[in-house]
Amino acid sequence: MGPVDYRPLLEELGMAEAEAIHVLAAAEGSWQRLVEIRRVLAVLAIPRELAVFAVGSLGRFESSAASDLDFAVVYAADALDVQAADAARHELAGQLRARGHAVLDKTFRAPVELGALLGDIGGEGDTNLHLTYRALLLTEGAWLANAAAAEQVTDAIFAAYAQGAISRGRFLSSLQNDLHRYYRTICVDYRFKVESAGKRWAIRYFKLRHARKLWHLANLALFCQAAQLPDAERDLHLATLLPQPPLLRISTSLRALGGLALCAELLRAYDGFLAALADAGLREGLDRIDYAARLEDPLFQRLSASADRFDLAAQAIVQHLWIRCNDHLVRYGLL
Amino acid sequence: MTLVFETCPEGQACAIVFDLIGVLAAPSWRELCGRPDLAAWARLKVGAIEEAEFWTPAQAAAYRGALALRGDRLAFLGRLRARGHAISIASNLARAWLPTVQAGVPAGLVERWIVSGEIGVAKPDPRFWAALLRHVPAGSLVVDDQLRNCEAAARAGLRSLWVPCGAGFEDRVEAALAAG
Repeated sequence: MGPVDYRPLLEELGMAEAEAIHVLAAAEGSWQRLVEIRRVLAVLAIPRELAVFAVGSLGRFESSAASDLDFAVVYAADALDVQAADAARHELAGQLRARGHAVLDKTFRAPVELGALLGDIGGEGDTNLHLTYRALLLTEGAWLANAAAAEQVTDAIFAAYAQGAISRGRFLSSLQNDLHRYYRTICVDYRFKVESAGKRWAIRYFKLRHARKLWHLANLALFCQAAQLPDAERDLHLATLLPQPPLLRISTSLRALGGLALCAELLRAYDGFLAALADAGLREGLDRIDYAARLEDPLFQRLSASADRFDLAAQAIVQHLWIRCNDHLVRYGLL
Repeated sequence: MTLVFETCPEGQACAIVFDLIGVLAAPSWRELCGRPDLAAWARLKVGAIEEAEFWTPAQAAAYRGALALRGDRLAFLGRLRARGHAISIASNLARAWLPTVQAGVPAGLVERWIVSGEIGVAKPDPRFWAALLRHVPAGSLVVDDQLRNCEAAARAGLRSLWVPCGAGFEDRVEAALAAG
């Protein structure tokens, strides 16, 4: 995927660039950061079989200078052993940290074997971690090193759903359900993080109300629109659109469903959220909000108002989807 | 949408002609450029300028480091070759990048390389397909990720299969072969 440029969409919507200036800046900044990292990693001795992805805000083209770098490493056991993959991941993280990237050893702290991601989808051995990798690599995995290996991995993940002999569903609902499952998982994960693990609550709360919800809405809209395509075209359409950033997934789907104009307010509302996330001081301010006193906190009030505006824009889109695709939503998307 | 144009002449063995970047190999040069210069690319891909005029030595080194063939696609080509299909590659590619790609291809797998940087004309120009047709029979199957290239190939008397992404790649190629 090349650079993401929202300007043609803004023009189509009759919006001024100033109305989505932070959306534009995040897309441009993310692209420049991706290119910089790719160039650094391209000349390192990384095993060719190791697929290295950016996920999170960078993979969605929504990152800012204040964003952490989440990078995911996937290998195939028949091509590389776990020790080699682990050593390469360690080296990569060190190189990126040395260049000022905030690499955190959280969800993506260790390489994951491709077969483990695909071998037990929905089974007892299918962990939150595996679900996270599948969902994010398909929808926001931008390669950082070994683009050819990375393409191979995302194609294999898509194929794991598409080639299901019995369970895939005419509308690829097996994949749609797993993406829904991931969304609900991170909603519940919020509970664990803030109640049990002592993590910062406010930034997670507002990410859930903006970025995560946008991601979910994008999948809902895309699958609604795809359901209206001829069967022979559906998988290609989904595989082509899923890696696009959420705002583009939504606008492409809404355009086809006669509701493109509804994206304008969504973009404006989301721009406010990206403006807040790009402000390091504001992020720090979020960390200081006392949950019990949040309703009196000006920063909480400001971001809550942004989230409410975003909800109204999302409501309008969901209502449109309901009118245009109610059969799909009842049978697959919602129930 | 999957497009399959034309058909293979009856009784004649058809070649399979694969595009390179986006089909067999990755990444595109654009993915290592902060601001891709399409005008400069238009000149580089037909050999009108040298790579040194296109980007910096550091960028050139990075692209060589990043450019690679997909292992699963090479394996698929190997299976097609074993079944008797002649494999050719037709690509819009700078001639300076060709050795990097060819180094990753097993000997004997690819019969013909038609590369824009070497022949001085690029897809979808009809002259590109005319050059290809000097090496493969009309009705051969062209597999490309760009729709306009597929349409141009069909106008030139080739069959074409549009593969905009990796979903179901092998199945679609096999179906196109079976349809021919």
